Amino acid sequence: MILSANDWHILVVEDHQDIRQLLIHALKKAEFKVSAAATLAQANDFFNQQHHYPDIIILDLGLPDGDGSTWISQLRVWCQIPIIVLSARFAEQDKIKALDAGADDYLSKPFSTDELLARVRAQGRRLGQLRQQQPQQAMVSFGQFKFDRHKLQLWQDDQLVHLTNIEYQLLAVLTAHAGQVLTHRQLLLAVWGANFSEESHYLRIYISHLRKKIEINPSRPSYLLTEVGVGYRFMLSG
Amino acid sequence: MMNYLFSSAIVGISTAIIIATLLFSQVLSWLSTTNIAMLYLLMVMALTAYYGQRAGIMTAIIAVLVFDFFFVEPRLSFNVQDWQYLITFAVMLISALTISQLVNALRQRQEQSQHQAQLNQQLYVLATQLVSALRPEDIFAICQQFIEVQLKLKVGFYIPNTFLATKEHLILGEFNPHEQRILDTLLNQALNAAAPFSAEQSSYFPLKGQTRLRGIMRISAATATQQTTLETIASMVAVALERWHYIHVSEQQTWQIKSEQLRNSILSAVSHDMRTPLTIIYGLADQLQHDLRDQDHQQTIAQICQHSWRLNQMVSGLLELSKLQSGYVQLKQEWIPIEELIGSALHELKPLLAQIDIQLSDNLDTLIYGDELLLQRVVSNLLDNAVKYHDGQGVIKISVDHHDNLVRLSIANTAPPLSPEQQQQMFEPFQRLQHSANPHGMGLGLAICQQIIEAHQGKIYCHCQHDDDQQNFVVMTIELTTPPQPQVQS
Repeated sequence: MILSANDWHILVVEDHQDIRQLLIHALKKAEFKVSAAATLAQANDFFNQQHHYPDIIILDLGLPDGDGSTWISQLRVWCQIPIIVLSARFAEQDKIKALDAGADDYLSKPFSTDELLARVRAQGRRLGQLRQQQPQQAMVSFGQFKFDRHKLQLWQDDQLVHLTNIEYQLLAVLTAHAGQVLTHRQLLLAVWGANFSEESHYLRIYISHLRKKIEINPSRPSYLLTEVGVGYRFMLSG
Repeated sequence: MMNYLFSSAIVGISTAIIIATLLFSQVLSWLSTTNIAMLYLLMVMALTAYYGQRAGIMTAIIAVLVFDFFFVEPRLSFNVQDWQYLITFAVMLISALTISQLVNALRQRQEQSQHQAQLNQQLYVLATQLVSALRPEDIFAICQQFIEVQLKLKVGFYIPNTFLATKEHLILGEFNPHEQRILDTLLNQALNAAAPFSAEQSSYFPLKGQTRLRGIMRISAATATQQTTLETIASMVAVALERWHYIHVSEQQTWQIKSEQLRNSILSAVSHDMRTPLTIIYGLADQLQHDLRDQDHQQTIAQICQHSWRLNQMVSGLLELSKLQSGYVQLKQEWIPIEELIGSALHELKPLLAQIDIQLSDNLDTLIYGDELLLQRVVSNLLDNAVKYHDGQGVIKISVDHHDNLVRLSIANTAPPLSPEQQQQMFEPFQRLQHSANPHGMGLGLAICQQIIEAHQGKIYCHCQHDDDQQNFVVMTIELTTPPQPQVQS
């Protein structure tokens, strides 16, 4: 069964009443089904009742009854539910901690309705793929590019673009999580392995190599975006 | 004093000899002359021991004369029949001298050790007083009291402010400028190897603490015998000062940590409390923008959005600046391609840059070593500034320059020339250029940049420059030293 947007059940976990209302209003207006919790304890209740099981969680990181990142990692042990964390601007360490614990994306306060809905929809697409047990397509396209992740070939229109092995792997990981933010650590682990998880300059240098090959203007990238202090996000739509 | 003592000795000796002679004359019938000589010798010993060396010698001479006069044949005359008595006289004299010498030496030593014991007792009292002193001033006062009362000397102390945890020089007594200069030079040169020295009737004792030299103690007209005592006092003062120093430093640190914790908790409380309503205002206005369709309201709401967003930026800027100024910012240094910093800044300011021609230099691959978040703030703020203050032409030039271990990033915009004062002033918080028709923000941007660059041990400066078409550019440059560029194999 393919879920349409209106069937997604979104759980908003936010202790501040007005911000909670703001989120609920914006999401309901976009025709999502919304539930709300003010604490982690209340959020836990939703997992005890089968028919209230949420599809996406929006979690504030400053809840009064516990550390959000710890809660995420506990949840991740058994559950792949998409999680978007809410945190203050300039609190990059909190975001990285939550993302490394398993959160899928973040939203900085203050945020616009458009940003919120774009993040939720991106997670919804991922959810759709998860639910349908649909293997990802080997071929992914962005702009003038077509990337065959199985054969490791990148085509710009009809031209084959040469990438090094590491660049292929990097692009494969990024496109597999298109629309999502990936932390430096997550990318280093995925492409270089555990021994390199602190060598962030490897990642930065290869990202800049990759940008030279896929961006029209590498200084103003449209696909491979930097999330300052956190990581990178690949946008297929450019 | 001396004469009085001596005359009382003479009276004593005379009395003793007269009584002894009277006694001996009574027993002359049944004692031999030799034994009487022995008795005189005994008396000489006793009197020497009692009255000291000079009295001893005198006793010996008188005893010899009396013995000769009253007991040696012919009696009641100084003539000597038997020459053997000359030997007796000689023995008496030599014995008296030797004994008096020995006794005297012993007595002197005893007096010395008594004096030393007394001094030690006084020094001990001084040490206990110094331990209980709470401030350097108390240490000086205790020490001054001791030296002036016990040693009858004048004392001065000279401790420059860098040698103890004090704001000002600690000085007791008069030190003329010339003397101060000499002492400063000496203190700065000899960190812990200085020895006491004398100059112009004053002796100077370095105050050597456990770890380093702490200052100088000056004593006017000290004698050589007091040297050791004064050195002891100097070292006690140094230890006391150092003890105070460390207590003071650790108290200051504790206090600093506490105030830092307080500041941080206030900052995070304020930031949370101010941002929450801002998030709500911005969010609600943004929702209204979607909900309301008519043109009038659209514009009003767009303004609410815009201003609440800017207010949020300002609150963030203030918090960021005060956090940076507290000096407790921990840099998370990494290698970052300059292109990425510029790219993020361009992305952040995208809405403002639509009409502007941005010219980038071509060596953007250079890596810079620093904190990504903070350096990105710097580049964004500089770019934002360039957008605000560029005049009409709409050209912003970004260039990178890399020589050896120095990386320079310059952002230039066309603008009227700035005076050197203006170029300096612009880094002060709340400064905005007067000629700006449309001032934005609070003028915190450059102050934040400066704090960040200083935390990276770099430089940030502004200068003006003409291009080939005689157009004036205001150029903001940041200059960072970097370690050798890392090698990454492909």
